[in-house]
Amino acid sequence: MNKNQIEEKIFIYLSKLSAYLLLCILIFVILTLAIKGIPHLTWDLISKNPQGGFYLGKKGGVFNAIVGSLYISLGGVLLGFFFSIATAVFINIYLPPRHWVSRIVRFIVEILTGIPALIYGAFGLMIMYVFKIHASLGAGIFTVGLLVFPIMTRIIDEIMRTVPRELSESAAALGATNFEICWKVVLRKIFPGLITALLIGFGRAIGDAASVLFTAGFSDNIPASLNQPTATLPLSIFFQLTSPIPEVQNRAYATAVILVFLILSISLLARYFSKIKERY
Amino acid sequence: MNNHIQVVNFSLKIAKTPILKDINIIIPDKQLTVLIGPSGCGKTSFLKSLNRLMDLEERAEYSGKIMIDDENLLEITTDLPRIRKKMGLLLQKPYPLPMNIFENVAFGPRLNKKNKKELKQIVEFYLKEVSLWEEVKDKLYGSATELSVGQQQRLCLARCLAAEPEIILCDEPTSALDPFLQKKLKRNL
Repeated sequence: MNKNQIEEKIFIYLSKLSAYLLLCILIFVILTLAIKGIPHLTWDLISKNPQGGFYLGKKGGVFNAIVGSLYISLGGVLLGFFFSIATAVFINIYLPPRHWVSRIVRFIVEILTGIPALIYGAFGLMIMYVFKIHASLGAGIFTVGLLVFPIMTRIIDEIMRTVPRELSESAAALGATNFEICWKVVLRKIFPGLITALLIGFGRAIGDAASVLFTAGFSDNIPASLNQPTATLPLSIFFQLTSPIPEVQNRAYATAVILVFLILSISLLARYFSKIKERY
Repeated sequence: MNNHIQVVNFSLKIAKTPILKDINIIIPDKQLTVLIGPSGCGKTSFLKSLNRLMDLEERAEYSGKIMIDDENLLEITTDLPRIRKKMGLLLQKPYPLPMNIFENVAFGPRLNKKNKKELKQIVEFYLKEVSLWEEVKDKLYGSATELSVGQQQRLCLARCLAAEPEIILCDEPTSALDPFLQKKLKRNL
C-alpha cells in the first residue's frame, strides 16, 4: 500500500467515524428521552394545564406550555419572516450585485446569527424596561422575532443568490418593474426555499429557552392576550428538571419528548419542502 | 430608410473599468443589423446598454447618447420599464420564467394590461408564429422548464414577440441550438 492509499484510508475512516459519532449522539439523546420520558407521557400531561403545585408533584399537564410555545414561535417567525424577506429582496433585487451596502448587511446578518439567544433575551428585557412593558407573550414574540430574523434572512439571501441573474434580466427586458420582478419571478422561483426558511426559523424558535427566559414570563394559564405572560416548553422542562422531586423530574423528560417530537416533525416537514422541486 | 437608433460617442464603464469606448453606430429601421466581434469584445454589454439592462450591474456609468425616436435613452432615470417594453431581448440561453408555458408568453402582454380574452389569442398566435403551438397546445399549463432547450428558446422568442416590441435585441440566441433548430429559429425571427 503506497502513501496516497494510506492517506485515503485514514481520511475515509475519520470521515466515517465523524458521521457515526453524530448518529450516535442523536440516537443517545433520543434513547435517553424515550427511556426516561415515554413511560411518564400521559394524555393528562399533553392536554391539561398545570394545577396548583404541579412543579411540586401535584397533578396537571403542560398544555399551557405547548400552546405558549406555538404562539411565541408562530408569532416570532411571522414577524421575523416579514423583515427577512424585505431585507433579502433589498440586497438582492434593489441593489446591484456586490454593492457595498449588501456586503455590510450580509456582514451584520452573519454577526447577528452568531449572537447567543441569551443576549437577545437581555436586549428584549432592556427594550421592555425602556417602554415599560412587563414580561408577556407580546414581548416574547418580539424577542423570538429578533432571534430568527438574521437566521431566516441568511437562508433567504443564500437561496435568492442562486436565482440566475438572466431570469431577472429576462423579466426586466419585458418591461417588468423591480416589484414585478421580485413578486412574479424571484419569489415564485424560490418558493420552496421560503418554506424551508420558515420551518427552520420555527424549529429554532420553538426550542429556544434563553431568549424567552426574561421576556415571556411564565404562567400556568394559556395567555388570552399579548399582554399576558405565557409558559414555553423549554422553560417548563427547566423548572421541572430543577425540582428535587423525582416524579416531577420524570415529567420533565416526558415534556422533552413532546418538544423533540414537535421539532422532529418540523424538521421532517422542512426536509420534505426543501426536496420538492421548484414547480416551474 | 429611417435611422431608428443612433448611438453617438457612447462609452460604458462598470465599476470604473472601461467596457465600451466611443461607439458610433446608426441602426436603420426595419432592418437586420448584425454586430460581429471576438468573444469578450463587448457585444452583449452594448446590446444590454440599448435597453438599459446594464443598470442592473454594479456601478454602471454611461456617457454619450443613444437616441431612439429623438429621445436620449441615457437621460431617462425613472421610466426604464417603458424603454424596455420597446425592446425585446433574446439571450444566448433560454430562461423560461418560473411559471407555466401560457403565463410565460402572456407575461409581457399582461404587463401591457391586456385582458383575459386577448391574452388567450395572443398566446396562441405567437406560439404558432414560432412553430411551437402544435407541440405544447395540450400542456399550456405545464412547466416551461420541462420543455427541451430548443423548445425553450422558441418559447422565449414567443414571449419576446408577444410583448410586441419595436426592436428585438438578439444576443446569439441560436448558439446553444443544433443546426436544424438554428434554422427554424432564424426563420421564425
